[in-house]
Amino acid sequence: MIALAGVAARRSPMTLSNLCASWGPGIHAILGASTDGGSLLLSLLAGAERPARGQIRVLDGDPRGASVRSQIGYVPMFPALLEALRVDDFLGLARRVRGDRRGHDTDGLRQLGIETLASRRIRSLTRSEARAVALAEAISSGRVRVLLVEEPFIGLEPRAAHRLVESLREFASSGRAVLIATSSSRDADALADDVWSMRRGCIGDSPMALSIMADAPSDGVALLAVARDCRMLAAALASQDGVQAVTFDGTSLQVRGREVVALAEAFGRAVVATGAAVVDLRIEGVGESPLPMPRLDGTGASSHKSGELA
Amino acid sequence: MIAVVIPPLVRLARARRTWVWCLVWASVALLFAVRARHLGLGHGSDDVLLGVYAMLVLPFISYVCVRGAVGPGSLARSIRPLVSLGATRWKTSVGTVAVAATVCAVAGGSLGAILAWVAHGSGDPPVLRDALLTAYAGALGGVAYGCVFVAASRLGGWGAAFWLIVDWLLGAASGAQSLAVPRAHVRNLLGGMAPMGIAERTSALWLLAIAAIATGFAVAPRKA
Repeated sequence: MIALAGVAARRSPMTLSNLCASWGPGIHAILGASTDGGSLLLSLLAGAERPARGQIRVLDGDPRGASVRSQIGYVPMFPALLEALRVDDFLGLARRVRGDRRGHDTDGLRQLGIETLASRRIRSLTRSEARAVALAEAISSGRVRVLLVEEPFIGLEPRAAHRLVESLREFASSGRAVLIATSSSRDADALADDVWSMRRGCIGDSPMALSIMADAPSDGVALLAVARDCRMLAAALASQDGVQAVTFDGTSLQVRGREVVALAEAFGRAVVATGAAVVDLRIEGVGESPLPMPRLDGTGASSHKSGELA
Repeated sequence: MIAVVIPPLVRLARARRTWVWCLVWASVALLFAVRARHLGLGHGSDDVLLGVYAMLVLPFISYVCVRGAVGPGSLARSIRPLVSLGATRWKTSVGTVAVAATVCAVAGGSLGAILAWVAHGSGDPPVLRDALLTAYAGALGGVAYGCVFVAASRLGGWGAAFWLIVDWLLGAASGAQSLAVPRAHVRNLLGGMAPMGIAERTSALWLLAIAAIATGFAVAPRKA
């Protein structure tokens, strides 16, 4: 249903290089940090952007073509909705544009438990509500056969998030494809049939098994962190079980251990004990070349992962 | 096709600020017309139509109507929601141009006719004929302005404002450069100074040509 052949694209700070992959029906996850290019890939697959090189086929056609686009549901972090309309008017118009004659305008809202939004003006919706409406429109459409969702659980209306897994599984059960881009291995594990890692704009050759990731790689794992109070955090980590070595310089810290879960738990305990402010956190295999970490001047830093672990 | 005109229509209908500005500009023009009638000016209609109407009110009313139909950003941003649902870009752009041009034509034509009637003086042509000709000139000018401003919105949210200034500057004279903007042709149709001395009918054709070129620019496929 989705095929990429030698695709390259760039949208600062993301770069995709020579991507080759294909996905059929089912729920697939692309796991990577926000700067690894997952959101750019979804944008290309939705036909919103054109690749610099290579070929993208979605449902055996070019996703920039109107007939293919009408069969693609795209839910980015900031979905483009018609702000002047009411939610139910928008859903009716969307069905009309897609050429969907099945069901009722507000079926998707009911499916996600957000039918109370139907009479609201789109301009008045919060970002999480707007994302839920975009998702409801896509999953309820009889025309949509490929659904692309960026960070499905982040910034999503809580009622919709509650029913998301069930709704996506139901959507995919009828031979349709769902591709999600996420930086959370927990979300990927909860939703997807297979998970593909994406690092620095490249997708792995085969799906990864998250349960295997939790087991000890032969060379162990390294946890790279950028934090204030690095010295205090390093001292607290040194006394934790599961930690083999701690090195730090100024604002960045590297912790090594045999097992990723034990290492993450040790890091969480140390953060709670010291009250250190963690700016960014990344897990690497010991053999892998480390990615450049953001600096403490605030550029490109994200505390999302640290929040999850803490 | 009906689906693609719904968003700009609804956007325009619910843009309170657009209607307030339309009312403000219409009120300004009406004040001038009432003043001309009160003073008993022999060519009151000509004074008001060639002065405040052609110079300020028609371009500004067209501008606010287009901003209402397109929304705060560029044309691409305005049509993106429908395009992402599977509507073709050119059809969606044509829908926006059609709504903007129609609304500008109706607003420009009807206001022009009302002004011609209110400000009518003893030296002006017969009132009915004057009002009809003014409605025709205002509507044609409105169509041209509507298409030009939508096309300029393709350059970004500031595009229409930029073109409003260009129209005001280039259209003030009667040289070759004034042929490219609607203002000079509207003035010619209302009986004022003709750009390069061309006939009124030629100015009408120029306005249609400007509208067609602008529509072509608005709907042309974008590069990567």
